[in-house]
Amino acid sequence: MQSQTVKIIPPSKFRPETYEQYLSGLVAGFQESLPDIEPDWLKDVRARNRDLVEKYGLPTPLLERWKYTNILPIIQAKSLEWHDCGNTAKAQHVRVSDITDEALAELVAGVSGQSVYQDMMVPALGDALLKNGVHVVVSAGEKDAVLELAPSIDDGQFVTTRNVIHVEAGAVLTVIEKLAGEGAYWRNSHTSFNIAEGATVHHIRVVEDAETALNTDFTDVDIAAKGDYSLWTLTTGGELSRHQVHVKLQGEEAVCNLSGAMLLDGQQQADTTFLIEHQAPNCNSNQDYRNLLSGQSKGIFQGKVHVHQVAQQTDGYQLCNTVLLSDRAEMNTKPELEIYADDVKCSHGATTSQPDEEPLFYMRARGIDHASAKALLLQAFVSEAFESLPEAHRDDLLEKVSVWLNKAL
Amino acid sequence: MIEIKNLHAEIDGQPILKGINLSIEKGQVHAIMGPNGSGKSTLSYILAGREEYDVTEGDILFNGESILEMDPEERAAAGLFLAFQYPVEIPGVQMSSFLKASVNGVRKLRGEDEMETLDMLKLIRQKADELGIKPDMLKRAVNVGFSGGEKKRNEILQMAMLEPSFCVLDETDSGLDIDALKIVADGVNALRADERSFLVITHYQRLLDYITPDYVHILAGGKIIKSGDAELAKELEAKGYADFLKEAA
Repeated sequence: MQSQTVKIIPPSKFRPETYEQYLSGLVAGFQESLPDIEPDWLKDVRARNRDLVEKYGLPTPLLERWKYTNILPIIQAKSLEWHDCGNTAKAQHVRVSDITDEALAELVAGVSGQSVYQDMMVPALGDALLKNGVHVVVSAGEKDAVLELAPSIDDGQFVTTRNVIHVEAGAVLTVIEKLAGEGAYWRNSHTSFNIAEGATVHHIRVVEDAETALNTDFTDVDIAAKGDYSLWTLTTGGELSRHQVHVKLQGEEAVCNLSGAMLLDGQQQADTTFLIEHQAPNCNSNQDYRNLLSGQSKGIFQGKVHVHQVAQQTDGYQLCNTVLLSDRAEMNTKPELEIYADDVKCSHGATTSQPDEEPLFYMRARGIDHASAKALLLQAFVSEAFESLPEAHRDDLLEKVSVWLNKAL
Repeated sequence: MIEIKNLHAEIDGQPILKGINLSIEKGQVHAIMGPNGSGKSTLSYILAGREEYDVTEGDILFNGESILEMDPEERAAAGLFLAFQYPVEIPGVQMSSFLKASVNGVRKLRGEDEMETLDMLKLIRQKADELGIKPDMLKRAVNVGFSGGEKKRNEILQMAMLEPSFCVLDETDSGLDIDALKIVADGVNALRADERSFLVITHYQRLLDYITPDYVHILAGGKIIKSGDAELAKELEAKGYADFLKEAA
């Protein structure tokens, strides 16, 4: 890991003049300190994203997709220095190379910054600082590919990571991403998946960041015909953890399943924001989240399904169920459907409730003490989000859920 | 074994039980019959320790000791069992894990060692087999998607696993067809023993054709208005509740 001198110095207040000063200071920092060694296309990517950050700043709650999450005060409270993360991937049966590969120019240049929502400043900030990253290729037909991502980070650091993952036709890749660290830091990650025809990705994310950490993570996924992307996220860490996912179902019979659980305590906040675009007919998308909020924690789930006119016979399903374990915890759930096709099946459901008394009494009447009954009930509630996960990984995640419950109850 | 003394209870300030007296000896089967709203289910919930009900007067003694201050799990450990009228669904909790947690929960509260997993599974399979419960049901989530008959059979399975000394059956016959009723009644009869007492709560006499009680009590307006032997149930079935209510008034 190399140290750079880009200081992320937060503005003392959000008055426009200080905020502008802050941004111009940030941009000047980029210019001064990044060595001029990359290919031209990468320099262009940087310059374009730097302009974007300069023009729009960092997101505030005035933007719809950031209405419940304000990262500015969190950054403000930290004194951070930018570090380049480098390549920390461990892989089996895949080819790993550096992201500066010319072949990636178009892809890397094309992703961030371009959104109808004009709110992609956080990934843009990552690309403004783009220097290094991981490029992974899984060859056509390879069935046993495994990629482990565990980027390291330390107290006082602002780290940007960039992963580009190509899964060729018919290949199967399992990605295990472990996000953890100690101290106060900000990790800004961006992972792109390009899933070719009939290829499958199982993406397991375990977020166990320090309770003084900011984690902003953007995942974009392009899926070709009959491709399959499944995500399981367990978030127990972070002061503020945001996972933004943008899936494009681009070929017929493409499938995505996004599931996970946010288990939060104390002052923690976690934000899951999905955009799923059905751009081809006969595609299937599922979202299933189970959350437990204790202390004064705050959970956010925003799930949007956008069905383009061409995407007939779309099947879109969304569910977000939350149990509040404290009367000071807060859950914000916002399902959205934008449908332009006329032959689709889309549903959404959300519940926010307290632990159910009926099953608790039933279990106690059968000799299971109150704390054990509650733990059993909540463990079962959370485990439904991981039901489709292959067993070896599921046991691992459920063990973490059980540890969390023992601590929180 | 169990002695209910002048029991008064209310929920949300609404009095429901208005002075129940009932004494059940070891090995006896008592039936409580009554019209809707007479307080039958309230009595069963109070026996099991449901917290929403306030006992305002009287006491419940189990083996000579008051249970009113005991938690539901402590009552279960002491040997009290309630078969629910509406068994509760617990999504995500597998039947076999639930039975394990239940048996070991009771053993823990009694200060006994947990049962070995293999012994437990063997016991579960044996008891399930006796009740005609198929092994695949043990892999399903507790009561989720169970038919009415499966739910009630599951209650009896749990009763057989825990081997309580006092069992309360709350409208165990409701929602059962005649075949399911016979299976459930056979399960209960198999558990009848000198050391075990039953309180069978029912709206209809039908169940009592299969589980013959030693005593029958008629509950109305929160009080026992008449007690008798098994013949009383038949008399009630023939005449209906109205005559008895008039008689008591």
